[in-house]
Amino acid sequence: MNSQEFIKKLKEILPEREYAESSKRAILAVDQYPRWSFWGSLTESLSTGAAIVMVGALLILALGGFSSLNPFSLRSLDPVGLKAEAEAIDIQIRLSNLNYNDFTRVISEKKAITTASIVSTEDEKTAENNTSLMAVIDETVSSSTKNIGVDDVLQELSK
Amino acid sequence: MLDGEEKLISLAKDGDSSAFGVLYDHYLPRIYRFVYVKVASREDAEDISHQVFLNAWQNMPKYKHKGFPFSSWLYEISRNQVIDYYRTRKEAVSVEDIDPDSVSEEAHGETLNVELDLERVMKKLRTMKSEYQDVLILRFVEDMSLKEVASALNKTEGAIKLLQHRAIATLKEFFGDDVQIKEDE
Repeated sequence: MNSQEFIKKLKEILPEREYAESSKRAILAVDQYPRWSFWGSLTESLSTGAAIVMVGALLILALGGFSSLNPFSLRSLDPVGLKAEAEAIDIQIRLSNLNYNDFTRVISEKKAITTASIVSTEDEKTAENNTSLMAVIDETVSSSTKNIGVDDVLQELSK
Repeated sequence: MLDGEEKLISLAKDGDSSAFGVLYDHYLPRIYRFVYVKVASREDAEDISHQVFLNAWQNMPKYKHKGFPFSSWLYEISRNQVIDYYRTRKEAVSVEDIDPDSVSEEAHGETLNVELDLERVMKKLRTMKSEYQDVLILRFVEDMSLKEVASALNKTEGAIKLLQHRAIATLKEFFGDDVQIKEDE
């Protein structure tokens, strides 16, 4: 066989008729793919775009990208600021809320007893001193309610 | 090119199955030969040819005539299908491997010898580069012009001329003859 005979033989290669008919019937029984349409393409583009935007937003949220824009963030909840504020607080316990009435009642009772004893022992000076002491206490209580200390009062009483 | 091909293509794009049927009848032998030379099996050639025209029918609405023959598009689909075939193919039994003595006594000896010779030559042909095979088949079996072959293979005419020259030289090595094949046109 030479090259020309070979080429001639190749030209004689043909599909079988039965195969050709059955293949054509099977092919034409299948639906074609839809043709491109503007609205179909637009809808598909919008849905694709929306999906991309959603995925992007989820990724950003996952990475905490929106933390600075958190509407629920309160200045008072800032841990650094809170810590500084706590350290700045000058905590001094003051007994400024002493029940003045009870305190003076006790003092008055003591005064009465003391005065009575003083009168009985004819020690006017002591009574005066006690009275003046009460005045001092009263004066102390009334003049400096903010700085009154129990220790101060007890000390005065002891005197 | 088929007479009234543009009209048939337009009708087929709109879903006219009879119009596509005409195109199918005209181009099936060419596509079948093209595929058969490459895969060396009638069954595989039938399967691949069926798939080629199925793809063409389903995608007809999207086909756009860009100045190239309709056959160029079919050959492009065929080449892609053959590539996919070779990716997944299993070893096929070639006629070359069949013991001639096992063939039925009723077979005509001469015809069988010719078939075996053809198979042997085609086996040699398949050892050539795919591009050489394509040019040989389209130019000398399908009698297509240089321009048509160039559009079918998506190459320039100059590239087709070069491939043709090399393919003929390789073919002559196979046969060892001095038969001249027309290279012009």
